[in-house]
Amino acid sequence: MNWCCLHFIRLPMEALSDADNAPEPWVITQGSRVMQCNRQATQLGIRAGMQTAAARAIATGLRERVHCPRRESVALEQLAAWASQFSPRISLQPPRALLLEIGGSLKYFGGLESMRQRIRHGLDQVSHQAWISIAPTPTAAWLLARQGDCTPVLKRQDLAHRLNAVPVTALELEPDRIEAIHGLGCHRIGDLHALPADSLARRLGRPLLATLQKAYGERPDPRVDWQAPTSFQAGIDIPTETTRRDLLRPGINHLLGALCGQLRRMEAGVMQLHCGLHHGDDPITWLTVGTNRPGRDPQRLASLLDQKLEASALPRGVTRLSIQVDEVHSLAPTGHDLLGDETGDGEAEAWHTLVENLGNRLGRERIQALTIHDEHRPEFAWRYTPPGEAADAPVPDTMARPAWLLAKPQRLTSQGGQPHYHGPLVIEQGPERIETGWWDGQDISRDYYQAVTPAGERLWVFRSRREPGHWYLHGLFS
Amino acid sequence: MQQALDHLLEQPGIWRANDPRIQPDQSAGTHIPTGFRRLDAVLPGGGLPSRALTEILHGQHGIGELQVVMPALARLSRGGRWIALIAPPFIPYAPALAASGMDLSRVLVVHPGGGEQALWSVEQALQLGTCAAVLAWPSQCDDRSLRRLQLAAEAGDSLGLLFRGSAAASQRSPAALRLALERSRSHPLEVKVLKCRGIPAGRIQLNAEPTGPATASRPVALAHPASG
Repeated sequence: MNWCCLHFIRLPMEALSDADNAPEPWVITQGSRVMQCNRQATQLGIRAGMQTAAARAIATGLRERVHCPRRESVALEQLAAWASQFSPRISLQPPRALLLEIGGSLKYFGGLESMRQRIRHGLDQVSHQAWISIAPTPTAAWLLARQGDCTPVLKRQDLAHRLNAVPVTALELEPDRIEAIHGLGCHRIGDLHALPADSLARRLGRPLLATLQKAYGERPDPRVDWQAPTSFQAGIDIPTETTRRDLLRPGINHLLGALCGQLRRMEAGVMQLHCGLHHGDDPITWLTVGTNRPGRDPQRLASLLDQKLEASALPRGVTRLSIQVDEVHSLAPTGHDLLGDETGDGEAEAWHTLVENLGNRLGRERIQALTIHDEHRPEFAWRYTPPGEAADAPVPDTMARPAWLLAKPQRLTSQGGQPHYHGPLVIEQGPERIETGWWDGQDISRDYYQAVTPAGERLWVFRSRREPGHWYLHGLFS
Repeated sequence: MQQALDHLLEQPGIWRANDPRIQPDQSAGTHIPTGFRRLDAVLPGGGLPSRALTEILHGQHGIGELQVVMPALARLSRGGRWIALIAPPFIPYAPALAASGMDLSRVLVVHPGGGEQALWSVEQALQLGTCAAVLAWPSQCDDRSLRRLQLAAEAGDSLGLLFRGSAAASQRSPAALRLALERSRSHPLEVKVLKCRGIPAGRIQLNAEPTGPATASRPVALAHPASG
């Protein structure tokens, strides 16, 4: 087994969308001290551990948020969903780490180095930083990651040697306990591990002993697989209220990454998703996009949302982004593809792209396919269907039909019984009597003719047998 | 701006009437026979230029503007790609299209609901490469948007057919082929070739007289489509 640990060192700051890269100085505070600061704050000289009051004195216009463990745990869940593109087995190591069992996926990703690169690249895209470590036991991977030791431990016989060198501060312990350990003359995990087990348990507690034993692989280290919820809802705060679309995109990409990661894990896709632009306490602006078959390609969804975003007026500043999916659709797994995106037939892809692009900009009801309907009344002998659903139907055996049909028959003027349309009409063919429909109250009784105008337009006209002398234009032979 | 325009004009899809670099063989490409022998005979390559815009200018609706392209569309609809109809002036009547040999399962109808939206839809449909032919009835169309559509048709290897009123004949157009249709009760449908890329410019007579010499501009009376 190989475990990969992602330790999100900047999770408190990253849980606020893009605060890390914001042009203003930002700090997350805990108690009266600075817990984390963004790049701008660091450049101004603010450091973690500093009194918040001192930081305020350094940077006028300092933005602050109190550390919120809940915000962090929501962010960690979202990252778990995102990370499920790399492994079907993920467990949470709160508050800031994820553990991925990667033994089964290494081959798919083309080996360890290629997989690490994919993870790093993916993290860049969703604007997160993490220490990435790999070790035979989850606890060891976690300790190494906390220490920032990113050289993979691939062989079990190397594990003890590598763990021995990790400082005891990597253990998630209260400062006074770390001090107690230091008091025993132990500075590295190897020093602790060298103590007799009984003595260690007596002095520092059984849980710590268990942690060490798990790390060294001397005791089972079972993990609970993280289970993705079946509907999807995620949100992210925008640190500075904005109407700039380019500042919203990283947040949207982050949420879509989390969504699509979860969908992959569920072997599912979405056909509709809602993106909420929150404006403080004002009503939310919803952007809804649809696809005409289930999908989970984050770039595709991002480009659809982008079209909506460009088209939306964005009346007020956005304070928070959310994504909501009410229904997920299962996707039949493709044979060649363990976890990644399906690479369907390119031709079919382009077709779906076209229909989605048109539908999202114009409204889906404006994109139609045509089908023949088995019905004598001309106005009911065809139907619109959703694109892609029309079949190549048999051609009804009737007299010639016009290529253009009027939505509603147009009453023609007539002089001396001769119908007029751009001048007097000359009948060329007919009549074809169409008489039917008594059962649904829309019965008709008409004699259809082909007629020609002086300008050469060939028309499909009928004389209503119910209204003697009344002529109607119903289509154009084009 | 000028630079952008120059860059645009460098594109192979842009045809300039006075461009000495354009030789007839360069723009030959593939052509799609209309199925009307006499028309195919005067069109270079023996048909409508694929990967390009063709304008069909006509007066009233219903004089045969679809008839001219229907055999070609029927064949294209059975080639695995789609036929898009964008902003049609009336309901495309399914039984008639099917009777003309079109595979209805390959037909897409788009009602964009506005001039700008229509041009955008045409560009999308042309450039994504999923449509063998895109038929469009744009309410407005300037030189610039025609150029964009010409590039899109080239990018998507798509036959762009724009149906416009006869008045458009006096406007400049980058379309590879411009046909004007005329018909009256006493005369069969006539097709005038107003402009055709691939024929040396000197041989194309814009606004040619119907009674001109025996060149490409001579009107063609449509007989029945050639069989097969």
